[in-house]
Amino acid sequence: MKKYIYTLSVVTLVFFFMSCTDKIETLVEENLVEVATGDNGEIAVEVQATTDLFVGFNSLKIEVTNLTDNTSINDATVTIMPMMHMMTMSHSCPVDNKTATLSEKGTYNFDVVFVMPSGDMGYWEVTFKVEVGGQIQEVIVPVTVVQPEETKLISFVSEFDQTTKYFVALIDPKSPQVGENDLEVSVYKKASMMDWPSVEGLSFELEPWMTSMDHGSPNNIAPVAIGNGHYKGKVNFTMTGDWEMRLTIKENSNVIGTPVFTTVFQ
Amino acid sequence: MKLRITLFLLVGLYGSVFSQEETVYKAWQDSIKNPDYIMKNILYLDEMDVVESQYESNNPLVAQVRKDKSMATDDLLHCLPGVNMMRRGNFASEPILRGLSSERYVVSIDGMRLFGACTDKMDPASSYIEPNNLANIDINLGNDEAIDGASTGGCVSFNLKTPKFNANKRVFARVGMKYNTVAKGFDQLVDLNLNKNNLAIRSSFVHRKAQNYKAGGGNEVRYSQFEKYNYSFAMSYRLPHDQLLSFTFLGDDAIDVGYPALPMDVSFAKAKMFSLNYYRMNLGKLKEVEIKAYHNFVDHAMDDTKRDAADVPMHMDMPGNTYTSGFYAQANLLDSLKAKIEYYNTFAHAEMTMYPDVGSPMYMLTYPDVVRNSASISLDYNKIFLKRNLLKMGFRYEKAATFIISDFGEQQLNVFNMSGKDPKKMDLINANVSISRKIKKSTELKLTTSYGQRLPTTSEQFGFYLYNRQNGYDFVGDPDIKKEGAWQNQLMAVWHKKKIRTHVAVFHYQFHDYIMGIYASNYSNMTIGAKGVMFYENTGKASLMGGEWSLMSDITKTTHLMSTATYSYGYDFENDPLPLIPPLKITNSISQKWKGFMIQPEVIWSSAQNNISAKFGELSTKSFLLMNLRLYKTFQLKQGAIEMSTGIENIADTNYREHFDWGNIPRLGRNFFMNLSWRMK
Repeated sequence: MKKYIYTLSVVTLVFFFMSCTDKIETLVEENLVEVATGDNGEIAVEVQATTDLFVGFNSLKIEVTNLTDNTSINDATVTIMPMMHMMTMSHSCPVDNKTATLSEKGTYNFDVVFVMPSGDMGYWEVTFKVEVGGQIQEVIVPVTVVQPEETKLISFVSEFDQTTKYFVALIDPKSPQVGENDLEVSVYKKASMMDWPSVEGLSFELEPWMTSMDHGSPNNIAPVAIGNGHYKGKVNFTMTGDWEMRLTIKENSNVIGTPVFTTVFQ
Repeated sequence: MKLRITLFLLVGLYGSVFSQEETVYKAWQDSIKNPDYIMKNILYLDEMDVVESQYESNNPLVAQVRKDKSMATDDLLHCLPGVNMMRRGNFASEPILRGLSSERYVVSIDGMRLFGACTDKMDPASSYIEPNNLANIDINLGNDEAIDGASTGGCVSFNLKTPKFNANKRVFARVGMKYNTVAKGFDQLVDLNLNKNNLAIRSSFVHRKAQNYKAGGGNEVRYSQFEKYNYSFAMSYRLPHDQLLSFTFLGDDAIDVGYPALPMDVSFAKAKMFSLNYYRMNLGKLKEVEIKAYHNFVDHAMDDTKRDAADVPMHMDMPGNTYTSGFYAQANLLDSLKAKIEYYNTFAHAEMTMYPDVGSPMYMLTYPDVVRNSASISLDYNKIFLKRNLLKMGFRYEKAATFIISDFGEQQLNVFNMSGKDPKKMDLINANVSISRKIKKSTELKLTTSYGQRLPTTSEQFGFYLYNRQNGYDFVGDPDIKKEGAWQNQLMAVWHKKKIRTHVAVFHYQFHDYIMGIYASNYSNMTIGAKGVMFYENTGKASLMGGEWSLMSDITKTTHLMSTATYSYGYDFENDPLPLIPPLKITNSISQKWKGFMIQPEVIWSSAQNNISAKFGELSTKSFLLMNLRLYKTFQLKQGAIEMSTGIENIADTNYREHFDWGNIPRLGRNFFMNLSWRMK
């Protein structure tokens, strides 16, 4: 009888907990943290994100403040240019939208794919150009980019032409769970140090794989293009543990690469 | 008053009682009450329920199960014609009724529903009781008693012993023990009944412990050990106007049980059952009014830590539990109509955590917190007409809803584009009509037509990657699976002269929406080494036919012969043989009285079974011949009596397996057993 009551209470607790975590997650998504700031004496730029900036696909929310009267600047057109400064060279990284106007939520939003972490090799700076009524101001914001625990960005040289370097960023699932998960990736190539265009027209194969047991999962949907170099599908996990998301990417029916994202969840 | 109470306790065990004076009817009743009457397959086991003269049966089969007080439930059921036992080890066999396994029949313990908690069917409900607790076992082969429950294959009712009121026997006690050589098994049992004035108490205790058994030829079957404790306490209190209030508790703890045919063993399997019962003999026009409320739970944990490391590709924890509560109320009206309303609620949870050598543990729900609610109403009507005929009709309507309450489980189902959160509702109808006719004094005929429907089991509806060792596939349930139904026709004939009694039953079952696992080639297995995935589906038609025959003959006054033969044949929607079909099996036993001893030689022959279900992973089974010899003797003492049963089973040490045994594991080799029990006068 004790066990029964115990189990019932556990079940209730689990439910309670589950409903709580749902709420916490939504709160966290809303709950942006300031990851970097910078100013040029006249205007200040505050960079917000849900986590520390990491190697991979980052959604940045920017607030611009007029320092003279401490008011938000809401009517600007903002342009972004991230730069990695290394010993001998500098390079940029993929950005989905180079310019932005104010979003409904009151921020300027940019999707940036940092391709390497800050560290001994070099440091990141993001240059914002804020244009209001024809006047352009520039603010340089130093940012720190960390290498995430689970790889969110994979780069490879095309297996087909052996020269083009591609970058695949894993956008979803952010916090994978047992069951059905959205899978979204975006793909870019390095055209030059400063030019990292998104790649359209790719086709995908997807195989989730549990290496410790050597099995997959059924009913997955390989990502298909949704525009802007983004590809969306579904990935299914039948249990917790170590999963691989094995992708095969084809361009004009030639395999260009087979990146594997690994995820662990309880 | 006392007499009447004792009587009604007796009567309760015999089913409904009729007041008509018709001689034919009395003859029917008498034949049903006759403990040797195997047509209805009731075995009376409580010597306090049956008068001594009848209890000392000449029927070798009945004698065997009554004399061997330490017999296990498995062995006992195995004795009944039409019943076979599916073995996965030396413990907790699953009864097979005419080739149909536990999905297709209803098991009730004193009218209570109890559901095993193991996803691999390691714990059929029958494993949680002991014959020592049983007043009788009532088996309906085929679904000719709709009132027993919604099934397509029949019903096994275990009825528990009740505390007895007997002014002349204030205290009754029995102590017994049994040893067998084949598994070095040692069993003990204690049984106690006390009564004073309006209160009666019964308590029992059984302990069994066995090592690995030796198969025919002497090879030890590893991981076939077991140990179990079974304990019960029951209390009855008499109220005025022939009312009785009872409380029953039954506990069963099995520990360290090996399953050689499965990849895992069991560290423990525990069940606790509680029930509260109210009984009233007469209430206006109603008779035998009974109301029962009950609760039971099962806690089960599989274990692979005792296996050789080479046999365990990955360590796993697989616990499971079920909780079931319910009540029923039943009464007889006008002696010929019995009505019952019943409700139960059951919950099943089972999970699996796998621990790889490298990497994180993997967790999944194999029973995703499945809840089932079921309410039913049933009627049973008996009528004598034209003196020689007995009409019996039964009808049952059940409404059931099944759903899951785990979000995690729902996410798992989403992988298959399925959902279990919304209740899956089902209406089930079971009906039966039978006509029995007495042709002359010596011949009885009974024709039964029935229609039955059953609910899918938890595994069939919500099982998630359940590995079936027999065919090597992972099984996945279908939340939207439909109910299964079956039309059944049975013809039974009993012919008896003074010294001879023979009984023949032939049956034909026609299933629709027969539920079985179907291989899905586009899915990959989860279990390491499995061949693929099978989904439970309603496959369409399946047929099963066969028969049982028995002969009892009093060769001389002291020599009695009993022969039984059973045969079945069945095929599925693709005309492939159904699994678990018993081959032709013939049992001959003789009981010979000699100087106070009863000697019982027995020869069992089974034909080979080559009509096998490849889908089920069955292997063909060779023909075998077994010989057993048993000896019974009762020593009367001043203070009670000592009953002895001893013998040799499988005398020739034949290495054999029955067709229902998993994993090509042979059954027990030559076994000497000795059972002694002392009972009070």
